[in-house]
Amino acid sequence: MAYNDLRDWIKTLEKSGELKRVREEVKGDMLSYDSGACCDYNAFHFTGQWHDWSTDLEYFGARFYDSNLGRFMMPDPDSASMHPINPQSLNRYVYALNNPVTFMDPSGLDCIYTTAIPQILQVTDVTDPSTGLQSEVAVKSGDCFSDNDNGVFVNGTVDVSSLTFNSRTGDLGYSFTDEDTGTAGSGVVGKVNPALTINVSIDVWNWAALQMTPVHGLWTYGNWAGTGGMGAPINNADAAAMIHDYCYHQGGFTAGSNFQGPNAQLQACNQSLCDAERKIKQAIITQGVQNAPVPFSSRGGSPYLTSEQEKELEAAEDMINYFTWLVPPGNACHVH
Amino acid sequence: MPRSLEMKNLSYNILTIIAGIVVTGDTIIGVLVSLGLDLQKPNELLMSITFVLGLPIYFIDLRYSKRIVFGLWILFTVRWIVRCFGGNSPNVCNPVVWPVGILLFVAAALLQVSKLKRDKQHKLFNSSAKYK
Repeated sequence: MAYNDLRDWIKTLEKSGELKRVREEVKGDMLSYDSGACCDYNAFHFTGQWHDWSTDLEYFGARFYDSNLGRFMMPDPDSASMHPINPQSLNRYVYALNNPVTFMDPSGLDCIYTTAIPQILQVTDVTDPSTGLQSEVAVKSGDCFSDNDNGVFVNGTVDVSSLTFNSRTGDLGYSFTDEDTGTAGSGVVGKVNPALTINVSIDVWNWAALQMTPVHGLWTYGNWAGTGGMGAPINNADAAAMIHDYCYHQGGFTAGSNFQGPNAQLQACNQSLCDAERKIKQAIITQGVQNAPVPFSSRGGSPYLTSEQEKELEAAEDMINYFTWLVPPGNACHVH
Repeated sequence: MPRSLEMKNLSYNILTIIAGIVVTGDTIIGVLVSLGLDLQKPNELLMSITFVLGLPIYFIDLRYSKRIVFGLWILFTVRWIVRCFGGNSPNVCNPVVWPVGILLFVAAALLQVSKLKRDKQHKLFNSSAKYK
C-alpha cells in the first residue's frame, strides 16, 4: 500500500469513528494485561497471593479466593472473628469485611508454631539478645484448626521480622495486622520457655549460647537433660540440667567421669543437680497438692498436673535416681 | 548316683543360679547406667558395651568353659581398664566399686567356685568308679 493511500485510509477511519473504537479496544487489552486477566505470566496476584491457574483462584493459605466473584470459596474457619456489632463479619465468605479499600488480608490467617513444628514448615530462629539463646518458631499462613496441632492461632498476619524472644520469661512476642480491622497489633505466646524460677547465672547463659550439640543419648529430656545440649531450657528441670552441664564443662568432666573414681568437684556438680531437682520436684508436687481436692504424692497420671508438669516431674526424679543410685559412691548425690 | 553326690550337685547348681541372678542384676544396672553415657564418645561407648555384656558372657561361660570362667574374668578386667584408664582422667580406681564392678566380680567368683567344685567332684567320682 502506498503511503498516501495509508494516510487517506486512516483519515477515513477517523471520520467514521472506527479508529477511536480500535484505540479503545487496544487500550482495554493493555489494561487487561496489567490486571492479569489476559496473558499473565505472574503467578502472584491480588495482594501478592499465589494464583492457581487450574482453578483460577488466589491461594490465601487458609482459603482460596475467587477474584472474579470477590468471594472466598470456603467460609472463614476462625469463628472468633465474628462480631455481632459488625454484620459484615457474619458473612464468612467475604474478603476484608467487603471493604478491600480500607482493609487488607494478605494471608487470610496465621498460625504460630513454637513446639512440635511440622517438618514441612520453615523454621525461624528467634534470638534473645540478652542471653543469646534461641527459640525455634515457624509461622504458617493458615488456620490452626485443620492441622490439629500445637500452633497458636493469630487472627491476622504475623510480621515474622517482629518476633522477639525472652528466654528467661518464656515469652515470644509478635506484631500482626488484624484480619478484621486491618490495624496493627501485638501479642505474646507464653510458655515457649516457661518462666524459670531457678537461678541461672549469666556465665551459664553465655556458655549455653555457644553450645551447638543437640542433646543426645539413650535418655534425654528437654534441651539439656542427657548428654550434650543446646538452646533454651524448656523448664526448671531442664535449666538445672543445663547448669549441671556447665559445671561439668568447668571441671572438664564427661558423663563417663562418674565411673572413673571419686572426685570432690564432680560430686559437688552432681549434688547441686540433685538438690535443684529435688526442689523442683517438691514445687511441682506442691502445685499438684494445691490443685487437688485431696493430697497426693504419687507420680504418673495425676489429673491435677499438666502433661508438661508430669514429664518435668518424671525427668527430675530420673535425674535424682541416676546420680544417687547409679553413680558410684564418692561421686553420687547424698540420699538426703 | 549316691545321695551325697546329688546333694553336692544341687549345691553347685544353686551357686550357678545365684551367679546368674547376680549377673542379671549387673546387666540391668549396666543398661540403666548406659542411659546417661555419651555413646558418641568412643570410650563411653566401649564402657557402655562392657556394662551390658555380663549376662550374655555368663551364658557363654556356662555353656563352654570347663574349669575357668574366662569370659567373665576377661569382661571384669576390660571393664576395669576401660572405666578407669580411659576418658579424660585415667587413674587406678577401685575395680569392685558399686554398682559397676562388684556384682560382676561376685557373679564371676560364684560361677568359678561352682565350676571348680563340680570339676573336682567329677574327678573324685570318676576315680572312685575306676577302683570299683
